[in-house]
Amino acid sequence: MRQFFFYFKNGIFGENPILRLMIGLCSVLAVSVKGENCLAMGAGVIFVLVCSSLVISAIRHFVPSQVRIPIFIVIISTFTTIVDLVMKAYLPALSRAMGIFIPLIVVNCIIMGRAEAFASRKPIVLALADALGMGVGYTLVITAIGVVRELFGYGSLFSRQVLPPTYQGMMFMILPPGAFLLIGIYIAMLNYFGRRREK
Amino acid sequence: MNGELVMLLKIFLSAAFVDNIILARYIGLCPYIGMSSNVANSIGMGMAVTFVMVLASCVTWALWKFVFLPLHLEYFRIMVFILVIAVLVQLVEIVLKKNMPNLYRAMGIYLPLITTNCAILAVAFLGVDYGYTLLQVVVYSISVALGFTVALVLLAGIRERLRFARLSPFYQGYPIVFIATCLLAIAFLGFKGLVR
Amino acid sequence: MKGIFRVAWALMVVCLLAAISLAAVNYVTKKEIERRSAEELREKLQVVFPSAERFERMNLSHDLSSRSGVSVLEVYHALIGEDRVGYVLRVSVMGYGGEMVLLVGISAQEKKIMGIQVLEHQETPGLGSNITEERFLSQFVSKSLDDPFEIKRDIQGVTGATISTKAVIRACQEAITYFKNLEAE
Repeated sequence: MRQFFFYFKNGIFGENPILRLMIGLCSVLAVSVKGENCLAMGAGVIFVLVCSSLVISAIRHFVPSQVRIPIFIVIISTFTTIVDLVMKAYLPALSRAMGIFIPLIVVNCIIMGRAEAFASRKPIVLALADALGMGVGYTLVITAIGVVRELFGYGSLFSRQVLPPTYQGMMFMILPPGAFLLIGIYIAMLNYFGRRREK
Repeated sequence: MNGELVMLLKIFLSAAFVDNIILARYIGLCPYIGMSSNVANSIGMGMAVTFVMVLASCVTWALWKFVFLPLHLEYFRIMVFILVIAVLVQLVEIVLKKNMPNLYRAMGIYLPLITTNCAILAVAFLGVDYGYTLLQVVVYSISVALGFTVALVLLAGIRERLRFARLSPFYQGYPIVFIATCLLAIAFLGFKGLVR
Repeated sequence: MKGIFRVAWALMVVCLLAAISLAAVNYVTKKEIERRSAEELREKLQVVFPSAERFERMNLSHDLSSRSGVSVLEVYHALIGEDRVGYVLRVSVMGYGGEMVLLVGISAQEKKIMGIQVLEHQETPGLGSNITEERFLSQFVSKSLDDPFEIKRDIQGVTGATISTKAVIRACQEAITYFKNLEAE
């Protein structure tokens, strides 16, 4: 149980996939213009990550090592397609807002990376902890970016207007440059607090 | 004929500059951040991406047109496209190693990294989604790859200079790279409205 | 030799399982996706032609595009009972950020625009994207087909987004031209 929490926390803080490992960035920057898009994307990634980690960990003894990568790809793309189809059927508006980034979950380096580095070597329970931790870490960062971009860009939070309607909206934050700037500042902040704690 | 040429030119301009795959669409960021520490490497990576991108989008285009649509198997698209790209990268690597050792030395090490490059998969999807013809797909993928290479080389140039800059220690490494990217993206915003 | 069989066997089992599960999910979601998109299209058609009872897609025999940068993609008949009262045209036009797709409803009896809707666009958020607002789009409702469609004369453009505004106007004009050609036939 202690190990479970260790790996769970590791994904959120120690090895946060986005701010620490610099992987899976594309969808983070592209989708994070509205809070609810971020949560939906996070849910999609958590689903694919958890399901594929569980399956890969469960069959790890039966998979011949020469073909493990193609098998991982097949498993991950199956779950990605499921997310894609289900979103299209039941959440069409969100699915349209995220467009190509749902199918692109399949090449999200977080999932393949965790499958190869963790899930294919560890028992199911730990793979679950790692997948959940990484997924939650991803969702937290993407939502943190999305909320700031939405607040400054549209003056709203999760599509609810919070700033007075006279607020003009800062276009810069919604456009690509704002996303790049914000993630740069986030990493710098993480460096700053990390450095402070060490001292 | 003339209309077709104009169309191709429009595809080129919008794919390479206006909708630059990295700076305007945020696709392919991992190799962009990872491979941009010096100019020589970034050019090698750009070449490798161009090669695989054109090949992959042609193959997936043909598969889509002649296999998936007639058989109504659209929902297998994600799985098959990524597998095709993975196989293709392997094949290219083997062929290059055997027949063109010089070229292999120039871009061989970048090839394995390309399988998980989302830009390749994204171009394969987008080429199909936009309903392009084969010629248009070829032009489109070349232009996207060119845009990718331009962005990569630009950033690599900046990063070579940045090594000598005096920065706050918290901004060293990735943060300043993203801020430089932000400025590049602002510059690329100037291309908006170019294609009408 | 035995190793190869094991590898092939493992690959086959995984692919088979993946294919089966995908086919199952597709079977469940397919009808829902089709139903939703048909419903959505109907709703949008209703918005641009509120008085029509139903819509019928028209089969177009000849090439649809006339001038560069604008093209009519699809045409629907608007029907009340069995009478054709007008058309809804799906028009694609190049805007500021890329392709824009609009629906334009035109009444054949009153020779006026019934309404327009933006289906897809890639305009700049916060500026060009304001063309989707009711405030802008409602100006086109009930406009006569012979109106000039000029910014500042009879159309109030979106602030800071002249190109996006012009694209919407071009789409309307193309729809009107197309409509006149249809009537002439």
